[in-house]
Amino acid sequence: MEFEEMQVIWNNQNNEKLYAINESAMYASIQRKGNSINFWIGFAEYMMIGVNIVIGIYLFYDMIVENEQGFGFVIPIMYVAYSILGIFFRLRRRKTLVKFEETMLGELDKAIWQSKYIIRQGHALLYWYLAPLAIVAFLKLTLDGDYLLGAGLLLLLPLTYAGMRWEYSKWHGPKKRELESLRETILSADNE
Amino acid sequence: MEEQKQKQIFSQWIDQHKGILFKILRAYAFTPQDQDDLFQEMTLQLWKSIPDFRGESKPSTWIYRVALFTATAWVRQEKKRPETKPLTDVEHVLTIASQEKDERLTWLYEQIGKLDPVDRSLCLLMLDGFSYKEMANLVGISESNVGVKIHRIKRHLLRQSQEKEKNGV
Repeated sequence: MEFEEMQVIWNNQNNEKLYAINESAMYASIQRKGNSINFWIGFAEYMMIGVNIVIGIYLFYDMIVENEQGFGFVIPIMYVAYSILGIFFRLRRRKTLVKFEETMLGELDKAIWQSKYIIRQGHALLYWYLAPLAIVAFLKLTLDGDYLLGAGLLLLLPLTYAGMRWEYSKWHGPKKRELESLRETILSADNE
Repeated sequence: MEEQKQKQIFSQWIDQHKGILFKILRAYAFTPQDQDDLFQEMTLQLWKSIPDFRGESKPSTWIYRVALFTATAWVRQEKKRPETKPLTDVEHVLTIASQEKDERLTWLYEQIGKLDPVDRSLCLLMLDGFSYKEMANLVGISESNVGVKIHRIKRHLLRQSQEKEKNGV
């Protein structure tokens, strides 16, 4: 076979459609991705609820045993309130999930929504959970005369922020973009 | 770039130029599982590349650039990854829509697949009618180097073809 013949064979393939997207396999693949995201969000929610309630109760108990009064009670109250908020957010998220259609695009939209949810929750966690707790703990430690520990606690905030930014740029951001490009690929294939 | 605009460009590219992705897919990934994996990786990188597209080259050239770069990087990563068993019970996202009618094309893809990743890229670009200058830009080597490599690739393909005919396959 001469090279010119190879070129002709090559050019002829352009008219043939060799691959097609297998929708049921795509559906299964999307469901796997969605379930994986769902698992990690659920895990984070249970941790948020469980850890906060345990710490809150322990701190209450500790303060009662130590017979402390006043400002110190703010911290355990905050922990218990966060635990209740965690339950509320979980219920609200699950209610939203039910609204997505049980189709391939519906599953994909659900997975994209969940990956955006992780990113939003991450930011909310920092601004509305870690920062207030650190500030309140800082005030408490300062009132108790423990300046060094208080300052150290505040310094942890920018470090946590940097760590979270890294996590999102490394894992959650790419995952979200992957799902969005997959959605567009499916829509393009559907339009044929 | 607005997300809506990005979506529109992506759909248009996939619609008009998916043939490029499929050709690269066949030259770089040989099992259905790998083809799924590489296809998803290429479409992802293509999606991410849209904001960087300035319209200075044709979309097909840009798509070739992104897809070839992705495929070459993917091959490098695959070599480092420990061998895994193929998932036989998992359906594949990409399926063969029509059986290859021309056995010679299957043979040609097999030969391209045996080349090293850079030569594979050059061979695909050559067969798709890119100039030496364009190939040099896309692959990142000098034009004279492209000339030498293309000459070797053609000679190699001709030799393989002669051997095939001699063996009566």
